[in-house]
Amino acid sequence: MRNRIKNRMTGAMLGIALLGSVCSVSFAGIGGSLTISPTSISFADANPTTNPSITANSTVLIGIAVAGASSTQAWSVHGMANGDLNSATSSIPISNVSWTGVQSSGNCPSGHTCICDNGTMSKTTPVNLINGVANTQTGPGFQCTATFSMVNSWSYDSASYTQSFVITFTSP
Amino acid sequence: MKNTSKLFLGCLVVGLLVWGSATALYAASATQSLTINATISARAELTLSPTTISFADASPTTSPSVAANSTVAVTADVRTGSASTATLTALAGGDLTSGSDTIPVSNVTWTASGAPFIAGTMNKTTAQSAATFSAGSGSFSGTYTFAFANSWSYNTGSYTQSVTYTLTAP
Repeated sequence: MRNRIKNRMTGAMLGIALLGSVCSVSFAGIGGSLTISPTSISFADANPTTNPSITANSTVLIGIAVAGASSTQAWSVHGMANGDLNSATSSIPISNVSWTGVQSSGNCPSGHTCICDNGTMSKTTPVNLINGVANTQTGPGFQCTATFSMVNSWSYDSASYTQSFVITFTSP
Repeated sequence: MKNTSKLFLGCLVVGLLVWGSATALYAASATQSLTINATISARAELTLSPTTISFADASPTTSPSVAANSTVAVTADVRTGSASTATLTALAGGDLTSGSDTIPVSNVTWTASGAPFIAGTMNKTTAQSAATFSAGSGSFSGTYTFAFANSWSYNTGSYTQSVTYTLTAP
């Protein structure tokens, strides 16, 4: 009888320890849920003389919900292009695409500021879209509206160009 | 031992469920991809300034060639395919005319400065090439300088004619 009770207690303790161990894997350390909408934007053709800058057909809503961060832990959402804007035969330097970021909703804890960054696309260096410290507000987190624009030029060859801009949440 | 196994499995299942739901929402590294598209269409824009020039009267003996009162600045903005070549041509609407008198427009010639603009002679039937572009797009600036072959054979009068410049980006 004593052995039976001892076995049950040992089993319970082992189970709780395992459960605690498993749970601690998921909640120890910072984590982020990243969303963007829409996932595709377009720049329409325009006369470079009268339209030296072209605004994309849509703004992009970028949302980040951060959990598990310490009160001093910094994080960022950055983007890097996979290359220049390419057609079958021509390219336009991706550095001609830039954006301005404006907070659209959400907050970071009191005393910490989440910032929507302006930037210029690069194919070699990640550029910040959002940066902050500590956890964001729960639910939708913190959201920025990014307005993308492209420098227009007579030097561009006529064609349809495309490229991917990879947006990543990281914490050092 | 049997009960211990049940408890262990139960904890493991609950733990995995919790872990699964947590990682679905929050990942240590999260990535999204934004596709960027841009459409660039063929277009051309030509600017000439001024749009009127004049040749003053002069003695054909001492001035066999008369320079126009002004050079003409030319700007050609071209967007075309990387393997396509733009063209710029000049076609006179006819000879220089004053009432019933005419002076053949072929007496008007021009020189050019600034690539890809080239010299030529006015023609009323065949469009003359006024630039030699390389394939692809670009913005080009130059100057045309016009001259008029003077002659004692011209009747007195005030002559005029228009020349149409056409920039094409295929």
